[in-house]
Amino acid sequence: MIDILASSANILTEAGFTTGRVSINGREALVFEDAIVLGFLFTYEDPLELIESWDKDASRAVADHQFGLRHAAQKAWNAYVVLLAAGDTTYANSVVLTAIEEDLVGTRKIARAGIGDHADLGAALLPLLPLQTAPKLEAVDIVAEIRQRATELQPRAIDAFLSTAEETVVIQVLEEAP
Amino acid sequence: MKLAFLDLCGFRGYRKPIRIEFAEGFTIIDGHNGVGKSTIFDAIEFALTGTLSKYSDAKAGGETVADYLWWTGEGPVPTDRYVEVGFRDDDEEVTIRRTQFDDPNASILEKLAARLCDTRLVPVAPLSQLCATAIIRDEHITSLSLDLKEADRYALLRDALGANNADAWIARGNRLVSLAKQRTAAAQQDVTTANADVAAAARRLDEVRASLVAETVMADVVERLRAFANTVVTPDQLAGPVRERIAAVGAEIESLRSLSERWNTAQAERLRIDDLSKSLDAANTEKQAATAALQALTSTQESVSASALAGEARSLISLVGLGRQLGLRNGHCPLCGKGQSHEEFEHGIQTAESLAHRLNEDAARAAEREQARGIAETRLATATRAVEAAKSAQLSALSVVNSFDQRRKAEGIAADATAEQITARAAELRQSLYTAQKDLRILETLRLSVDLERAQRAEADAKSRLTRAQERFGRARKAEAGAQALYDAARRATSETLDRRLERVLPLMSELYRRLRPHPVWNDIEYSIRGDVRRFLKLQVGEALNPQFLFSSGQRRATGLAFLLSVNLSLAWSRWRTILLDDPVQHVDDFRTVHLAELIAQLVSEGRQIICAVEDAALADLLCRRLPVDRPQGARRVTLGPDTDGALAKLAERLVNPLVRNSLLSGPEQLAAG
Repeated sequence: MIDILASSANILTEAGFTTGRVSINGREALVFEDAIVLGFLFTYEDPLELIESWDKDASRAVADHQFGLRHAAQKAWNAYVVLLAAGDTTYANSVVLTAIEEDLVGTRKIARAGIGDHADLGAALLPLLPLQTAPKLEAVDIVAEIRQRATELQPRAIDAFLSTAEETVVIQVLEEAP
Repeated sequence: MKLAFLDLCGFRGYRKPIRIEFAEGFTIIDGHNGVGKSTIFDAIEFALTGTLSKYSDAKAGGETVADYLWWTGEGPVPTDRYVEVGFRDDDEEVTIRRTQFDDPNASILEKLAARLCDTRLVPVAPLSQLCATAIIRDEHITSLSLDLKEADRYALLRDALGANNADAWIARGNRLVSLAKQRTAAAQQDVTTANADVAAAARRLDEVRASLVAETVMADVVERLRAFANTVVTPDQLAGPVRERIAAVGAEIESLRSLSERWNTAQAERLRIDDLSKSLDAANTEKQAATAALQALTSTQESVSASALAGEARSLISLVGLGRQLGLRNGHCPLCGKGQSHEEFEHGIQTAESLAHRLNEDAARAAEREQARGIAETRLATATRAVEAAKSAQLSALSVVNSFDQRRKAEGIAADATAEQITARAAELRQSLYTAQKDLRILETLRLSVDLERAQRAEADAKSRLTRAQERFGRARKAEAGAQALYDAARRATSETLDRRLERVLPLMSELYRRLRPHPVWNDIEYSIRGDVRRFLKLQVGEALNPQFLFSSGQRRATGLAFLLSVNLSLAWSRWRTILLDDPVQHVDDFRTVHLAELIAQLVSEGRQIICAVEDAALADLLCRRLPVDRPQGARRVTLGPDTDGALAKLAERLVNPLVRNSLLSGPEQLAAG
């Protein structure tokens, strides 16, 4: 098990967010903000606790930070409430969690359970994070690749194939090969 | 490079000129249906490619989209008809302009392509490919992604990544294999034909042989002739040795015949040799006696020959007779003129007569001695001839006998063989010779037959052609194997390098799917490549479920967006940093629209230029709030609609300002207050 709050702070900080720990409803929470979004992150022991407490916690967070949200103006539309539970979820609970997420009233909610490691946490916070995979594909020397895969042939035949010679010439070279 | 602006007039539904400046970060375009949002994207594609791919080859009533590129509506005609698109990067601005009558200069298009593409990887028709992957249209989001056949989906991604001219090598390899197969097939046909020719020639040969003599008879003949000539050569080589043997046997028969004929003579001569030896001895004895007799007669040498003495006697008698006849003349001898008396004269005559008588007697005796010597010489000559004759006869007999014996020995006939045995052997040889000659005639009917020779020649030619055809076939097969190896190498090089690249891209595709979260249950999608000859890109969720048949319309659209965006982001060869989204959220619910906004926000943060058209003004507001603005004029909002003349126009345009940077976390006191 990981310390979800601490790990979340680390991940969000690495992603360019400013973070701070606060207490909301007596529950330690994380406040985060960057140039576009801001939000609150709560952690729970299990999905049931999350389902029971999230609304109250989210409302409390908004109330506690109403001045900041008012100051945020347009940015307040980009407010997130991230609700993370450590324990595994049932299908029924996962449906409830999805329903929480699909409720866009007031804030954008991210509700996930079964956060057991950093991979789970990264997946949960993915909407807030930069692209995790960015393949940089280099040029392929296809001629060298072809040569590498035709070692059973005479070099002259490969040279002929890879040249601009007519196919009939290549065939002739292939026929003449010892 | 990024888009800088779009100027157009008289294009599609736009009658009046309009210019849209694109912000470096994002530009959100909103407006109701039919206000020309999609035309903005069409104009960009048209400027770059000269066509609109979304209509493909669609025709109706003999018309194509080309008939509707330029404004054809009612009302005042446009002042001009053109499309002009500007691209910009830190160094330069490139403008592409197409009018109703003019295309842009090819060099400008090439220059733009060079700026928009990595020249090392640039594919064929790069600007078209760029438009195909950068302009994501509403109507194509599912049809070009989830609804695509797996092979076409693979091809789409391959084209996005490919651009390594591998296809050209595969095509060359394919042509090479085709050519090699053609040559192999031709060579194989040649072999088949040659085989058929050989078989036909062999059949013809069999027919000819059968018509000449029965094979068993020929086999017997061959065996007899092989035995006769003491050889094991093939039938077609048998005639020579047989002829040589026939000549030898003929000579042997002739020799035996000669021996047989000389047999009695030789035997008679052999018997005569003893008598001839005795005759020679007798002749030699006689010769010795004759020689002795002659030597005895020739021991006394005669001073004057008998004829000379007789001549002297006759001359003297003639002189005496003449003296008597003449008598003493005048007291002088008439013969010598000497003065003498008659008595002296008479006495002298008598003395002369007496001398003549003695001479005559001496002459007679000399004649007798000469006759005896002559007889002795004749006897010796006769004896000598007899000796020579005896010798000759003896040598002749010996010669006959020796010659016979030598021939007999040469023929290997024992000294005690009889004439009958020789005759029998000669008869045996004659029979053998007769049989061989008869067999040879049969054999030669085989060889000498014109048809047979022709058939044999034809068979040899056919076999020769078959050999050459087999050699060509072997070379062709070797070349085909080589061509196939090269083709395989090209294909494997292509597929393996592509797979390696795809493997690096698939995680991005999965991530974009997870970000857009099309489905509440299946949070992950699995992209897999399968197939050997034809390659497929398969999409699966859950336990090997196909989202194409499982997801709702909105979920499929969100999944398609994830795929198309990942294709765009995977373009290894593109330097065009712009993604154009034409109404990407139709049928997508608000929840997933937020996901899309979050994803687009990340793309803008990473330096992509997003140009997104939406119908809903509230959604446009959401996007303008949610996407990052990192600089003044970094984002723009444009609203399209009809102007007071009813012409499509830009109704509103404003810059999107950056948001407040710190609100919740501006200072520790606020945290404390929280």
